[in-house]
Amino acid sequence: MITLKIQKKLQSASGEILLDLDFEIKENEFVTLYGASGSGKTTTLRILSGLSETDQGKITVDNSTWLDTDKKILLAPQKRKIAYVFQDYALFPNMSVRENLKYALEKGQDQSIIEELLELMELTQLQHQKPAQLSGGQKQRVALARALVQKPQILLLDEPLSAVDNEMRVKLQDYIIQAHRKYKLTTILVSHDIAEIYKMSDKVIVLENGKISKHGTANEVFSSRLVSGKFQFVGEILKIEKENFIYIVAVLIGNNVVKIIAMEEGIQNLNIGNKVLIASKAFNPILTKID
Amino acid sequence: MNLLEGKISEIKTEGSLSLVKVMVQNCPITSIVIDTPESAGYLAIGNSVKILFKETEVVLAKAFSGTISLQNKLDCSVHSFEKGKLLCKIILKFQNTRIASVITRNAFDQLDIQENDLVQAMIKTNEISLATHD
Repeated sequence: MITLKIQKKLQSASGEILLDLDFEIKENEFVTLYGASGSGKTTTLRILSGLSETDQGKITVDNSTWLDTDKKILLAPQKRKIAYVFQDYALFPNMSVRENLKYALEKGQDQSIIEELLELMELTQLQHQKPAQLSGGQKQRVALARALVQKPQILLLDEPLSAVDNEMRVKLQDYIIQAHRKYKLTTILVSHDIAEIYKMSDKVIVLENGKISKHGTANEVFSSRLVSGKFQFVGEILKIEKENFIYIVAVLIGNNVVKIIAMEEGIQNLNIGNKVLIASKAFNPILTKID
Repeated sequence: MNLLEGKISEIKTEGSLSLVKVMVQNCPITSIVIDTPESAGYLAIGNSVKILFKETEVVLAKAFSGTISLQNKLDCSVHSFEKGKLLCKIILKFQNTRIASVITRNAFDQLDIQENDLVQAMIKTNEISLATHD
């Protein structure tokens, strides 16, 4: 359990704002921070990891205090069991994949974690390559594996997938979910991608100008009305075709394009590129086994 | 998407399914959902809910007699219609609101639908979604 209560003045594009947060994250939860640029998401991760200071506040993780400005407690970043992955991979260019992972080992730590992570992230075939020989998605897998070498309790992900293409993004999301479950991590993700947030998060915290404006499940936060349909996906509109008074809307869900029939009233506020919630009764879909 | 507002008047639950009766003024409409009052807070007698169903799920009947398994029957009159080669869209007056039905052109011609005709709009229980504002 992480409890965080912090206050810090921030300089943003719109002037000075007060980052003023008070939240709890349960052990093993996957939480996403969502909000506009400058709303305080990255600063929150930096304060939690000890890379940034705060004006006032208290952070406790399980029963240990990491920060308490009243009692002048400030645990050093290297003593916090945290792994931090950014959009920038920050790999050592002169070292192979395996050497990059080995470099992160603590003194006297069992090396078997290296094999385990190479296997989990499907990097065994690439272990002797240098970062320059890898694709963006492969580099990000190495960065993720390296972050997990010291078996952190908490994984912080600051838009780690925003630089990779959509197909690789979907795969990397699966790697992150696997690692989150296998190592029983408490994970905090910063993301702008609503489909990604729906897929990965147990909870979403929405920040606006340094304050929490909404929190709850992705469905509670992003859909203005709760629909009873159990067949729900988030997708992006690719195309809207008109056929007499019927509209055929093509929507990208993950890597699949589906088509949905709508009437004029239903598409009035919709444009190509919009994110939409697609809901249907669970009674309609037909299941067929494929080999 | 057709949208009506009503109040929940009855909930029957079996396992994780609930049959929910909603009164839209004096007209009962039932929906079956994979939720129970325990799993979804909005399922409570007296709560206001929105009833959603697609235009393409609205069956039309004219001077209908006999029995039918469809549970939701709304007495409507024809307000207007648009005809295509394959499909027709009919706007219906229901209570003080409008709903739409999309049926095939063949069906439209067979029913010989004219403005102000009295028709029954029928919707299967499992085609009705419930929604609530949070």
